Amino acid sequence: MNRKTLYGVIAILVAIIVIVSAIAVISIQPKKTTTTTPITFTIGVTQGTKTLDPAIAMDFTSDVAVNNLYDSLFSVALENGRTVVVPNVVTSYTVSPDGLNYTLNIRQGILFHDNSTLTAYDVAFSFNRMLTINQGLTYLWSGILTAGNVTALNSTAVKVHLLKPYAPFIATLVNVYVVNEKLVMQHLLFNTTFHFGTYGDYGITWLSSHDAGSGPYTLVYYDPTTKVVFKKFSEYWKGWGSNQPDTAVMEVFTEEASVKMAMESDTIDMTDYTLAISTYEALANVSGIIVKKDPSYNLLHIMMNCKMQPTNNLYVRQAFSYAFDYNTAITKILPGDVQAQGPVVNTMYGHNDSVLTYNFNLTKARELLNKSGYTPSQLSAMNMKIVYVNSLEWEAQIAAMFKYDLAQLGINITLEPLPWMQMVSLTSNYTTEPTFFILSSTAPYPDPSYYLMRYTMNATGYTSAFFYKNQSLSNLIMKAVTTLNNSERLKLYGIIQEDIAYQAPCIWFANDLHKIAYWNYVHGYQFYGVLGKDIYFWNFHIYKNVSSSLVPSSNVSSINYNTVSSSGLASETKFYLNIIKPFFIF
Amino acid sequence: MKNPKNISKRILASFGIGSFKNIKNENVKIEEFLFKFKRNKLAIVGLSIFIILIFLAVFANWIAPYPQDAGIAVHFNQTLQPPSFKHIFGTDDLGRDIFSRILFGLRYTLIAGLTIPIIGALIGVTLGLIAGYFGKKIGTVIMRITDIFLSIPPLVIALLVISVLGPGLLNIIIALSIDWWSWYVRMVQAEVLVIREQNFVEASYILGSSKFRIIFSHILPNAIFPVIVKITLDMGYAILNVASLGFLGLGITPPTPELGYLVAEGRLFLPNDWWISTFPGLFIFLAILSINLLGDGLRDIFDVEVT
Amino acid sequence: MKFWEYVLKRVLLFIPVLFGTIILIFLMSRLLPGNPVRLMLGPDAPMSQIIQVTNELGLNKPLYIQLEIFFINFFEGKLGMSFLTYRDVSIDIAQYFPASLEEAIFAILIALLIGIPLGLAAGIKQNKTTDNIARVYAISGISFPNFYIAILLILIFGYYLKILPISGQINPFIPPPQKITGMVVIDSLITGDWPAFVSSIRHIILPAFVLSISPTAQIVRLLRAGVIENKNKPYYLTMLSNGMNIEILNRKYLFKVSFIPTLSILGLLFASIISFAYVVETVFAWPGLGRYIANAVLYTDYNAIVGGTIVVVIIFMVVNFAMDLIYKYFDPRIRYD
Repeated sequence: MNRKTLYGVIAILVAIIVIVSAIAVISIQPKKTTTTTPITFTIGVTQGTKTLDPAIAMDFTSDVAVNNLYDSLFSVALENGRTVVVPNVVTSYTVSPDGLNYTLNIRQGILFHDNSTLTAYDVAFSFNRMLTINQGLTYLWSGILTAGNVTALNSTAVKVHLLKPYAPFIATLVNVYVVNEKLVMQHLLFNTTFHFGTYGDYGITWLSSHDAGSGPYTLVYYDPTTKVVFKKFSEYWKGWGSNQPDTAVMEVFTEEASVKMAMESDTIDMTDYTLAISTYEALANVSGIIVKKDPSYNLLHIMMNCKMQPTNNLYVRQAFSYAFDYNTAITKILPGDVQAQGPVVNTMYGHNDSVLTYNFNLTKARELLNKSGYTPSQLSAMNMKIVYVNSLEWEAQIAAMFKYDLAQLGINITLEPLPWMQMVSLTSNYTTEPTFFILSSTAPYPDPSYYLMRYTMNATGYTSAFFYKNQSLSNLIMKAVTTLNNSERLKLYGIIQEDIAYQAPCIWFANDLHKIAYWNYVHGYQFYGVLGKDIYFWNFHIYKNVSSSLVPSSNVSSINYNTVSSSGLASETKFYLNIIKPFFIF
Repeated sequence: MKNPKNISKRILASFGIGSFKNIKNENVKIEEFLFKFKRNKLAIVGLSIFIILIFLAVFANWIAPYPQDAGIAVHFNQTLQPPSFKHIFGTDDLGRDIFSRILFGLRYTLIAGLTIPIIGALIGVTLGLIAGYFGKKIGTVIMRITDIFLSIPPLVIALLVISVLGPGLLNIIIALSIDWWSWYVRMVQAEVLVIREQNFVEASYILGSSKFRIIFSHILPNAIFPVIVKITLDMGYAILNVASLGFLGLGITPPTPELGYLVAEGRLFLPNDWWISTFPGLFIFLAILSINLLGDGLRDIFDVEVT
Repeated sequence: MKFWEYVLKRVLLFIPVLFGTIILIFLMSRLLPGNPVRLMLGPDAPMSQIIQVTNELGLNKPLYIQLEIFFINFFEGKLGMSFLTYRDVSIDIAQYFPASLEEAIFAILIALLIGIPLGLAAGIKQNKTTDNIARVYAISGISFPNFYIAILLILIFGYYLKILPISGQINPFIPPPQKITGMVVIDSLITGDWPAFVSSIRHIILPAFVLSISPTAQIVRLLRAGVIENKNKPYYLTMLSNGMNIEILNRKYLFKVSFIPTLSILGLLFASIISFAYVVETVFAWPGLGRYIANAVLYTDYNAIVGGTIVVVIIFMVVNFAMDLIYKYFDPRIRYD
């Protein structure tokens, strides 16, 4: 090639590099903060949003969006370190003595984002819509409430008729959000995947990417795989104070290393809770970043296949329960977590504190193995697999640790990391379900029945994929759930937990700690135990680039579950923690 | 008859293959081979590095200071240690010595890198020979099926195979080979189209040789050189593909310390615990670099051009 | 009119290949393990919910009927609902395809910018130092897993030097430009949206560079080979020995001819980037087609898998066809069986 041409090309290259660098440098001039600069807030999440429709949303990212765009009937708050349910759209309610009929009084003066007024008709419409669509969390009312049984008496009151008495009913209403009936009805589509008679698709398509809410923020921009942008709704009924975000962004980072870098370089203000423990530890070392840890209702356990050999043998299961190194798990792999005691989380009111708890005892394990009639070599030959999500660091470590623990007994198992969807597909049948399945699950409401219902005969979710079915146990559980008398119900719960713990269908090893990282200029963050409810932008006050004299002292309150005593019973008139959004891994 | 060389060049060029010249009817002389090889310094460098890596992989058991760390051993008391005298490449999040894991991982990586293109070539060359020689209907059908397979995202095929067969290195090899053959079919078919017009092939046919004899003793040896070169060059891509699957968390059963998987797993710890990802990456780099330099050298020698 | 006959024949062959692929992918996606409905509905979904939604999505019907419904929708321009975004797949693709197109264009530009000078220099100075350096540079790029390089670059430029953003397509606080082509850089240029333009350029540099590494290596290799082949040709040597100025000789005769094989794979490279860039797109959170399809496969999002693959097939077929046409146009001697 002509030397001159070569030089020419090089010159052009250099020129481009210079121009680009100049652009880069110019663009990063720090902007001076004035009182008129809009206050922004960014949270980095690791998964995209699925839908903005409050009737369907059930994953964390979608929940966060819904919680900021819409108002729920009841909401959560912290009182004396305890999460309570407080009125929100509903101001007060009455219930009939038989527990079947509720009357909900609706707050006046709430405006939707299009400035129309929220009435009881919208409430009834939203609830019936959710029940009809029958996706998302509607299963909570399965067999209890059906569509059409929610009616608006007038513009300020709604009547609900249940099929059966249901003690946690009010608690579940934390996740019923109100949509703008007129707006939704204008955007019905027909001839689509979902059809509900004259309601067409009930607005599912439109609501998946549009905003029909009354919540503190309106939707500015929505791209499910990259970001959701919110703007402050100035006519929000709760009103506005100072330094709350004017614009908020939920930005998706699919690569965890990027989230860490973005957080450390202050590109984002907050992370979510899904990062690896080592990432939180690294972030905690950065001055100015707070890593907040709160006890949660997340139960980490290994499900064992109770219908296939060898784990259909009680002694084998108990032996394995003694062959798990709980201590290493909660000190090295999941530091800060508490060892689980039985099938219900320790932090839950109704937990039986004296339930049988296994520990790492190889001698006992060997005894039980002898009793079972299996030898280690027989077991090793049975190709037992432990299945877990391949991208979760802690699951990989727990699996590796357990494999090593069993190797001490001379038993060999295979590690099988899989994509989550493949794991789910295995759970549909006991013949495909592997011997060991690592799972974490969070209760959607503050009652042990969530963890216990999976042991009933009718349970079909993948949280029941241990396939332990026992008719008398199931009857006992159903009896407990429909018992309205609190003290009797708790007694039954205690007995049930004892029985299940003895049967050892799962190895329950930890009650997980909820972790989140954010910069110290973000004030007002609170964790309610309910996933998604904590990322409520209206709560946050941002004091970034503000002189320190103007920053109020932050009182960061945490949940303190120790106020729940095990011997006494909690007062029946108090509302309890409403964790409606189940936690599941994607 | 039109000059087959030019046509072949254009045809191959249109498929993005580049042409090949020097139809070798005689065996390449050894001295000529060595002479050309020595002239290409980079190829020698490549060969040396490659031999060292193979040596490390074969004798991993003896060289590795902590061979059990490449297996199921876990040591929670020494996790995430930076490189030191005790562990020259540091330890990972389960306390395992990274150097030992790399040595054993080399085996898996090299095996995968080698077998995937070879299996792909075996299938592809066979189909390409058939398509090229028998032409017309069978040829079109094979080529169109190849087109279809070329367009299906390799991920779909890989996931399907892995989910049907289960995870594991062997199944990854199968899964990736299935996607690999399509490239060889195109290449070989185009070459066969050219070679079969050659005089010596016609002569052989007139003399009464069976079709199979023609294919195997006349066409195949001449078509094979670009294939060999392409196999060496593809080895690098195969290794990277396995690493990409590891990136998505597919296929390798832990604790198999396959190098690509180690890099993918370890990226979580960048930049703080950088050694977990970097050292396996370094060895992947050396492996692929040396293979590619070798391939380039071979190509220069055979005077063959191949993408 | 043999040319037009050929064009027609190719277009006609288009159709069975397309349909063959659709049917194949349709079946393959159904074979993937996993029940998308169970995944959609969460851990505690009761049987009644699962059954209801399965029926609503039409997944309980026999496969051939599902295929039929798919084709009916296909001719109306709808590709079916994505289980992950609750929108029609065609809307998703319309959003993510331009992003992939954009990164491919920039990646190829960078690859050409770097690859052509290197390839030419390497070919001309065969086996000398320049050649060796160029080749090692090109090969080094494809010797590291690309996600590692990507993260490394983010570390250097985004984290330590802080001159480039960490991920995304545009700064989330800058409203995206008016949608004309869907490509953020181009649109902001056309509409004169300076902040959006600057932001999008800054965001595209790293992903495009990482994507350009592999094409650069191939361009260098091919160009070098082309130069080497052609510079030993009789006509070239003759002109050289006749005293022609080597610079003019190279410029006029060598460069263009050597570039032909490179040109031929350019199309394929372009198509590959658009379709298979999922690793880079994941690391940079770039909303492209590759990541969309990869996610669809991982979460058994049937319609997205099929829809995405259709787009990939069409891209490859169009690109191949265009390349072949260009060839046919320039060299009528080529006969295709």
